[in-house]
Amino acid sequence: MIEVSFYAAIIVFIIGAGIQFFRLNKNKDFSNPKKSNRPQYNIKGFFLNTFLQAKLFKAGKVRWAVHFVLFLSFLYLLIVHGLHAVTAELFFSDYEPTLDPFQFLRNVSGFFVLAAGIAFIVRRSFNLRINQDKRIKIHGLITVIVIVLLIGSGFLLEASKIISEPIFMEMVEEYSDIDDEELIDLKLHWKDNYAVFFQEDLQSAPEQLENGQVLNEEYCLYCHSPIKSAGISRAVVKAIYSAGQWFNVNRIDKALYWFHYGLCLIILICLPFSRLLHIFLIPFSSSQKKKTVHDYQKSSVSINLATLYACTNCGYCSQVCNIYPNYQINRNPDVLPHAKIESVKGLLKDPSSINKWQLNAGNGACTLCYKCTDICPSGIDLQSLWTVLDKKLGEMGAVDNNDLINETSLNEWMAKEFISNQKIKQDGSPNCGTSSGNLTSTLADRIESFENCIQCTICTNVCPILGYDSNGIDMTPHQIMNLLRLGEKHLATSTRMVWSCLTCYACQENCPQEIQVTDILLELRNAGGMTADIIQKNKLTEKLINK
Amino acid sequence: MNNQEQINCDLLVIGRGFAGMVAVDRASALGLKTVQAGSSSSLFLDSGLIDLLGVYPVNKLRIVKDPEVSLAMLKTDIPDHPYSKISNKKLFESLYFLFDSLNDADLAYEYQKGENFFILTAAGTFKPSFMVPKTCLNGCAKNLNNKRVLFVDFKGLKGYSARQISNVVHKLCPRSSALTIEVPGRSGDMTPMMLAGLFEDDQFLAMITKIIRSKIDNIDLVGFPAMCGINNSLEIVEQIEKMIGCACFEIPGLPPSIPGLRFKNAFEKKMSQNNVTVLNKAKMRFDSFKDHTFFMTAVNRNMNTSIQAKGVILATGRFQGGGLHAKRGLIQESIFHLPVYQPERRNQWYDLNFFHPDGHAVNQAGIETNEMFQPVDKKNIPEYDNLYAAGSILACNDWVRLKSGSGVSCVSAVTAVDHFYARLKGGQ
Repeated sequence: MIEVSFYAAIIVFIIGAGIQFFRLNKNKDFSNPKKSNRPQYNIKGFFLNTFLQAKLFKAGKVRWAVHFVLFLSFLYLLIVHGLHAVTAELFFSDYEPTLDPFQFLRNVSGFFVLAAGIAFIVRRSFNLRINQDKRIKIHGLITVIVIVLLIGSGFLLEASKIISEPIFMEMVEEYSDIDDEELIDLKLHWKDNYAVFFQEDLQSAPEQLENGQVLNEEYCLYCHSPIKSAGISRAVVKAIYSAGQWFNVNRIDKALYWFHYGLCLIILICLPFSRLLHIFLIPFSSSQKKKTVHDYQKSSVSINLATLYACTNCGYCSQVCNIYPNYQINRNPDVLPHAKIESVKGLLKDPSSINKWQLNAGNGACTLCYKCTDICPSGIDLQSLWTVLDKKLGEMGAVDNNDLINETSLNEWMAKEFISNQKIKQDGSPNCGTSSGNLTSTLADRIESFENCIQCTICTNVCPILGYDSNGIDMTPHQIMNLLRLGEKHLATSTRMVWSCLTCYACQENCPQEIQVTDILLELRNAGGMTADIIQKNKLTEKLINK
Repeated sequence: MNNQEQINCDLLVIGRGFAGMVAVDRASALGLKTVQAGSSSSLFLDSGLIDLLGVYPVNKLRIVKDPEVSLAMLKTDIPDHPYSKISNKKLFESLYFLFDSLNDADLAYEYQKGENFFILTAAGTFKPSFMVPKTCLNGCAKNLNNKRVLFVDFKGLKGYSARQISNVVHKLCPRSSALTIEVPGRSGDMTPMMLAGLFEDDQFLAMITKIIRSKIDNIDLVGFPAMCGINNSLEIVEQIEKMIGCACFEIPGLPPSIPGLRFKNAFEKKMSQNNVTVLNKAKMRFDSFKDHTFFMTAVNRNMNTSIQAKGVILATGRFQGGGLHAKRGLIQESIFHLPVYQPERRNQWYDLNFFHPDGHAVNQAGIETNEMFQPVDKKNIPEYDNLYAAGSILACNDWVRLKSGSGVSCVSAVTAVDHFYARLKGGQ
């Protein structure tokens, strides 16, 4: 029964892994790898990050310590405890689960995994100093809860076995040839020293206990270390001892065994689809060759999308993100890498489920500063991902505000602007999340700020944009000031000048009338950006306007 | 308003225009510790020509050929005019000081004693001016007489037309012609700054000289808009002359004007060499005057700077520069609230005839001073010991009609600084 279920689980696991591999492989073309490029590997990174978790160490020492202890403990439990049928023959000829040091080590490892797991759950549930994506909060928690349940049931199982009278009797029958009187002596000894719960009321005498000890040495001690070393389980025994009769009569130990074993099989089956896949994918992503500046310059960057699933959503990337203030003002979650990566995964699964405009706006704000890539404990090449994503989103038809305005004719813009202004009045906040920043224009709305313009064209003369590319600019700064004087602010927001401004402040510095030309241009850009946001968010189309 | 800085200096010059620049230059030449403060300079709008006196008497529209003769007339006619407060010797000394100073800053100018140049402008007219950039010199009326002149302009350049100039100067040089050059890759508008930048590029020069040589032969002179480079215009004009094989000149035009920018750059270069503290974009506030010392504050958008100065030169200009402020009833001086010479009532500001040859009464408004350029009250007593006024803010100075803007600015600034210097040294 046990073997059958185990092999069945293995088969399901292999099928699941195959499906995942197929899925990840299918998505490979998202990254546009050039076929001539042979994959190159980073051997050093692979070893350092797999066995020592070097990148996690770099990211945070405490976090590394907790994770590394968990990693080692889980590894011990898996190899020595879980797979003892295989490994005992290979490595430990005298393995018995109830013998020290195995019993002790099992308890210690179990304790570490349990403690780390609970700490993890608490931290994730209450969002203690952590950025995590809401979409996968539960997803990430379930995996850890299952592991905690596994270890918890393990301790309960061990405790129930310790107090079990039926198991004691089975063992006595199998491994000894003692008579009934001696049995009572042994029972007495085990009741006192091994915490077995016996149904009958046993009266002890000193000579009986001595005899029991002799019998114990004769028959049991080869396989049974004192339960002192099973620290956690002994504590559990104390808690359940009063219910010992119920445990023994109903053979709860058997039920717990199946529960514990079942959980192992469930974890095994779900592994390819769960967050635990990072166990295999982090070594894989760490082994990817690091990109150089040269690669980015050649714009030949690519990324294997399987590495995305190495992400544990630890949120370290967002803690160091250069443009976190952008998120604080715009409340666009796709500004932050940890949320962006989830959106990319969503995009791979079902492109229609993702707000491409929001993702594009978030990705467009990225400065490609490399900080997230540098810190990522999973070793994911985020820098390349953002670069590729930018290109892909463009191909998928997502346009940023600059492009949108560039492609919109003036008439169309005026119509859309009118609707979006009404929308602002209705909805209040024009931003995609809960807006806190006030980005609306103020200078351009106040006549005093531009009424002194004498149209001397100094601003236009000193503008480096016009010097660089006069053909691509529709209006010059002094003409924008004139538009404002004519009360046509909404037209000014869509001009190329406003959207191409470098904010070098040359115009403002040179203005003889002290007009804050650059500040005004910048505000106009913000105002236009907001209008464009609303247009994109609400998918204002020509049809809608005609209605 | 979070920063407070404190500066002590000998002389504070308020104003970043022509008079302010000359005053700072003179003060640093005399070794005074100088601070310049004011709103941003509008020298970019300056033509670059330094006029002394172009038209006198104004109501007879008589063009001045010999400024010394007309100056003598002006001094007897208008005793309140700034020129009347100083001797001819001092007046020309001041101009020659400016000449040397500009030469120091690699900006070559030219003047001739007792005679105005008549410089061709972008309108095709000739403007009487005393001191002119060397690059414009070939464009004076004397040199153009009956010459075969080619006027060049560039496609997309606004406010400048070679054809117009050629047509207007037809009488003086009937064999002149015009040429429009299209700069490849620049189909849109061309600004003076862009063109001046292009002139600093050798490839561009090779391109335009090739076009000029291929299209036209038998020419004596080539006239360009005054945009031949921003920094080393004389070298560039000489280079073009070599490449074309005939004399060239620049024609000053409408603002924004590159010669004005060169002028500003030259002064700013000198100021940085002389370690002059410049507070740009600062509004000045007068706090108090104690023990012959001015306590002023320069208010910038994010910074306040306290300044203690032993003397102040007020060169804030008129309405455009912000030195004078026109209220409904009267005209005020913005910083010290000095008495302003002005028509009694607002309806007297302008004559009914806008083009009246005498000009308008409001154009005479300004600060009245004594012969040391100290602002005075009605009883002719200086308001403050060490306060001097210079430039267009001075009263009875209709510089637009007299064509004497730069001259008055230069002369009053230099004289005011000299008086302050003498007083400072005398006091010690």
